[in-house]
Amino acid sequence: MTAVDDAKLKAYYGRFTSEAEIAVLQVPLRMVAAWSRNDANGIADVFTKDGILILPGDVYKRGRDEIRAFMAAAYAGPFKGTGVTGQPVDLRFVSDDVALIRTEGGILAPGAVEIDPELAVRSTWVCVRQDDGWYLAGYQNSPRGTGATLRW
Amino acid sequence: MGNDASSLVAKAKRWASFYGKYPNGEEGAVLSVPLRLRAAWDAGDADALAGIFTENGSMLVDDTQLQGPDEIREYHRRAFADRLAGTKRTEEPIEITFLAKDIAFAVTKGGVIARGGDVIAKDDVVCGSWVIAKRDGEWRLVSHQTSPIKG
Repeated sequence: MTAVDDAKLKAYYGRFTSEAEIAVLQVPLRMVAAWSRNDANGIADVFTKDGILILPGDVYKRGRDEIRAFMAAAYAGPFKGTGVTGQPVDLRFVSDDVALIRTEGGILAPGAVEIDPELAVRSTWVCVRQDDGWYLAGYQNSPRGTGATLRW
Repeated sequence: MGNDASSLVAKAKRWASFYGKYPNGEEGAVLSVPLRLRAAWDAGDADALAGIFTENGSMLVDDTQLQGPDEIREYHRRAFADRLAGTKRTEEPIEITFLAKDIAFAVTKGGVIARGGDVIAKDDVVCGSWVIAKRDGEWRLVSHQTSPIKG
C-alpha cells in the first residue's frame, strides 16, 4: 500500500479507528471497490445470501441474485462508468456480530470527483459478522438535501 | 353494547390488521415497535415516541438525521405542534428477518397521512427500514430510515 492510499484510508476511517470498527468498515469499502469496476457480482457478494437492498424509487431487492441482476442492468444502463463514494458518520455495534454504519455520500457521475447535489444520499448499512468476515444484511439510502432527485 | 365498546371493538379490529402477515410469534413481537411508534405519532406524543428507541437510537426524518432519544423527543415535540400536527401514520410490514437472536430487521411500506386526510398521498409513500433489538426483555428501536417510492 502506498503512503497516499494509507492516508486516504485513514481519512476514510476518521474517528472509527478500533480494530472492530475497521473490520466493519470493510463492508462499504468493498462496495466502493466493486462499484468502481461496475462489478455487479462484486456488489452482490458484499451482501449476505438473503441481504436486502432498498433504494429511492421502489427498489426493494432480496438476496444476491436479485441484487446482481439489478446492478448488472444498472451498469449496462445509465450507471455505466459511475463511481460511488461516502464518508462514515456513525458506527454502532448492536451486538458483537451486528453493526450499523451510517454514511453520507453519493454516486459519482462518470469522470466526476465530487458528488452532485442530485446524487447525494444518506445511507444506512446493516452489517452482520459471519465466519469469514462482515457482510451486508441490509442497505438503504435516502436522498440527502432538497436537490437530491435521483430515483432508481 | 354501548357506543364506547363498539368504538373500541372497531378500533381493535383495525389495529389488529396492522400486523399484516405477522400477527404472532417473534415477528409479531418485533412489529410491536413500529406499532408503538405509530400510536405515539397518531397521539402526537413525543415522549412516548422517543421512549421506543434505545439509548443510541437514530431516526432519519425526511432530510433530518436525529441521533438519540433526546434529539428525537425534541424534534417531534416541535413537529407535532407544527408541521406534523394532526398527521397520522400508516404502514404495512413487508418483511421481518432476524440478524441475530434478539436483533431484527424489518421493512415496511407506508408513510404519513396529511392532516385531515384518510389516505396517504401517492407521493408520500415510503419504504421504511427498522433495526429492532431486544433490550432487557423489551423490543426497542435502534435505527429507522425511510426512502421515497414514488415521490
